[in-house]
Amino acid sequence: MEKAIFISRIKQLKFIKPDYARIYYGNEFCERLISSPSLLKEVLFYAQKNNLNFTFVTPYVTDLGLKKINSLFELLYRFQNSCEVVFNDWGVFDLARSEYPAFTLALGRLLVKQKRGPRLIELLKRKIKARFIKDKNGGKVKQILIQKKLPLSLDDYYKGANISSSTIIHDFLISHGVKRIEMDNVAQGLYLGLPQNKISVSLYLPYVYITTTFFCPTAGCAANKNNPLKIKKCGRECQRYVFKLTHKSMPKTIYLKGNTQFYINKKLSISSLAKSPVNRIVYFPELVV
Amino acid sequence: MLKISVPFREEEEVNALIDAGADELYCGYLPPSWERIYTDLEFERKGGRKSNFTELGVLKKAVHTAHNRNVPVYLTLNGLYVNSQYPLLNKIIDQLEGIAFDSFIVADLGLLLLLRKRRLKSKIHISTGGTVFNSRSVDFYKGLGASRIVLDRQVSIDSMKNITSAHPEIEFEAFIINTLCVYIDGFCTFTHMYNLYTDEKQKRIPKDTKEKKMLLSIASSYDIDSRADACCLKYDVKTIDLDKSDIIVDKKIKPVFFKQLTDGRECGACAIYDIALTGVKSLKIVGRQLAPELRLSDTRFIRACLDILKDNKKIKKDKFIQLAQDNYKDYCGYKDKCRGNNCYHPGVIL
Repeated sequence: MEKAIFISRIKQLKFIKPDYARIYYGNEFCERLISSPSLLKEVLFYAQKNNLNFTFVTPYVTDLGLKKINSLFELLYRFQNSCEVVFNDWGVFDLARSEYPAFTLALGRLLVKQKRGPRLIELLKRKIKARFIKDKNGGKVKQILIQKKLPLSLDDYYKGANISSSTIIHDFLISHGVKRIEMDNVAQGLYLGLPQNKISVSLYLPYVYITTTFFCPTAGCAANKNNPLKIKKCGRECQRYVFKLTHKSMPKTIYLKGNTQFYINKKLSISSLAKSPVNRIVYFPELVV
Repeated sequence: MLKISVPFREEEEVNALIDAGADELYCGYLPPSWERIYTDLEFERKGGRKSNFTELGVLKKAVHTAHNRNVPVYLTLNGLYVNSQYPLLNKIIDQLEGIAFDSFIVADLGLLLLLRKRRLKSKIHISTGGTVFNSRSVDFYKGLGASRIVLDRQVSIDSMKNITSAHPEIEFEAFIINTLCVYIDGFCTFTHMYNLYTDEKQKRIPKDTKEKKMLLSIASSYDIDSRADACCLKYDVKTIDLDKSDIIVDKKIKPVFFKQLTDGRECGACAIYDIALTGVKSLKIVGRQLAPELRLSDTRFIRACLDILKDNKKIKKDKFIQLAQDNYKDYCGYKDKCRGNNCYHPGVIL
C-alpha cells in the first residue's frame, strides 16, 4: 500500500513523514488557487531531492484556469513527462490526453459521483429514530421519525459510484489510458466494482468532500455585509478561516473551507484493503483549498 | 432569437405551454419497473412521481401533441447509475426508443457511452450535471456525440461568450429562472431528501416510564429544517481563525449563505440582453416539480422579456433591464424593487 500526502501549500511540506512515498500537490476546487510555476518547481525539486513520487492535482476550471493549467503542464512535461496528473474537469482531461500524451492520468474525486451527504449515513442504517423537541408550551414532546425503508438494492448505488462500478465507463477509461481513480472514504461504506488489476483506487483520508461552488461563501466573508449581492471580491479569506457548520439533522460536523464543504471520516470504510483495488492512501494533513 | 425550453409533466399542459411561448419542451419519466426496485429516489433526480410521467402511453401521446405543434420534446435522463442498474436501464431505453424524443438529456458518463453505443436516433444533450465550464469540456462531450450542452447555472456571461464562440456547431442552453443552486449541480453530492421520512403514523410506543410521562407526539408532521435540502439548513456556524488556531465568536465573520437571503424568485431575466449576445441558443425554465400555473406564468414572463428584444432591436441594456424587472413584478407577483440577491447574474445589474 502506497502512502501519499496531499499538500496545497508549500508550508505543508513540514507534515511529510518518512513513510510517505508520494506527494500530491495542487488543488481540486478553485482555479484562483492554482499554483504559480515557481511554487510548482519548488515542490517538484523537493520531491526529486527526497526521492518521492509526484502527483499534480488540478481543479475544475473556466477557460482562464485552463490557460494557467496549460502553462503548468508545459513546465511539468519538461520536468517529468510521465508525471501523474489528477484531473477533475473533462476539459483538463481533453487537454492532457491530446497535448501531453505521456502524462499518467488519474480521474479525480469530483468526477467520481459518490454520494457523500452525511445524512446518508443515517438513511442507510434503516432504523427508526426518536428525539425530543419542544412543544408550543415549552414542554418536551417525543417525536419519532420513521425513515423510509430503502431497499437493499440501493446499497451499491449509495455506497458505490457510477465511475467505480460501470463496465462501460471502465472500458472507456482504460482505452484512454486512465488506470487510476481517486475516491473519498465515505462514512456509509464503500462498494467498489472495478476490473481486477486494470484500474486502481486512491483513497482520500480523512476529509470527505461534499459539495463545491464558484459562488464562494468565504470570499469577502469578513467584509461589510450591507451589500447582499453574492459576488464578493476574493481576498483569499479561505487561507485564514474555516467554518464549522452543525445542525440537528446532520450527523456529522461540516467544515466549510473556501468554496467547498467537507466532513471528517477517519475510519476506513472498506473492510479489506488487501483484496480491494485500493493500493494508495492519500492523507490530508489539513483541510485543503 | 433565443428559444425557451419549458418543463412539463402532463399531456394537458402541452398546448397551454406552447401558447404561452414555449419553443421546446422537456420532461422526465419514472418507469414503474424502476420505482419497484429502486424507489422514486434519483432515477432522474427530480421529485419522483410528482415531477415525472409514469405511464409510457401517456408520455407518448404528450410527445405526439407537441410534435403536432412542431415543438421538440427532450427527455431528461440525468440521474447517475451503477452497473447493477444497467440491465433495467437498457430495457427502459428499449421502451423509450418507441417514442420519438428529439433528444435525451444525460449527465452520467456511462449512460452517455451507452446511448452512443446504441446509436439511437434521438440527439444527446449534456445536462448541467456534465459540469461544463470551459471550451475543452465541450470538445470532450462533442467527441462523445453531444449536440447540445446545458451550461451550469454558475457559468458567467463572459464564459458563455468564450465557450459558445469556440463551438458554433454545438447548441448551448442557459438556465434563466427558478432553483438557483448555491453549489455546482454536477459536483454537489448531497442527497436531496425527497420523501425521506414516511407519513405513516408510528404505532409502537416505547414503554420506558420516563418517556411515558412526556407528551408523546406522533411524527405526522416533521421539522421543516430536517426535511430541507442540506444547502438550505440554518446551520450553527463557528468560525475558526487558522492564524490564531482558535474559535472566533466574532459574528461579523461568517460565510455568505445566499439561500438565507432569499426574497423573490431566483431569476436571470435581466441577463437575457447579454445572453442574447452570446452563442447561447435556448433559455431553460427550471421546475418540473413546480405547479403548472407557475410554469405557465414563468413561460409568459420569459417570453415577454424576449419580446422586448424582438420588438426593439436597438434597445439599450439599461432600458431592457428596467422593462424586464417590470415584467418580473407583473408575472412573478413580486412587489418590491429587485434586490438582486436571487439573481443568476448579479454582475449584470450592478
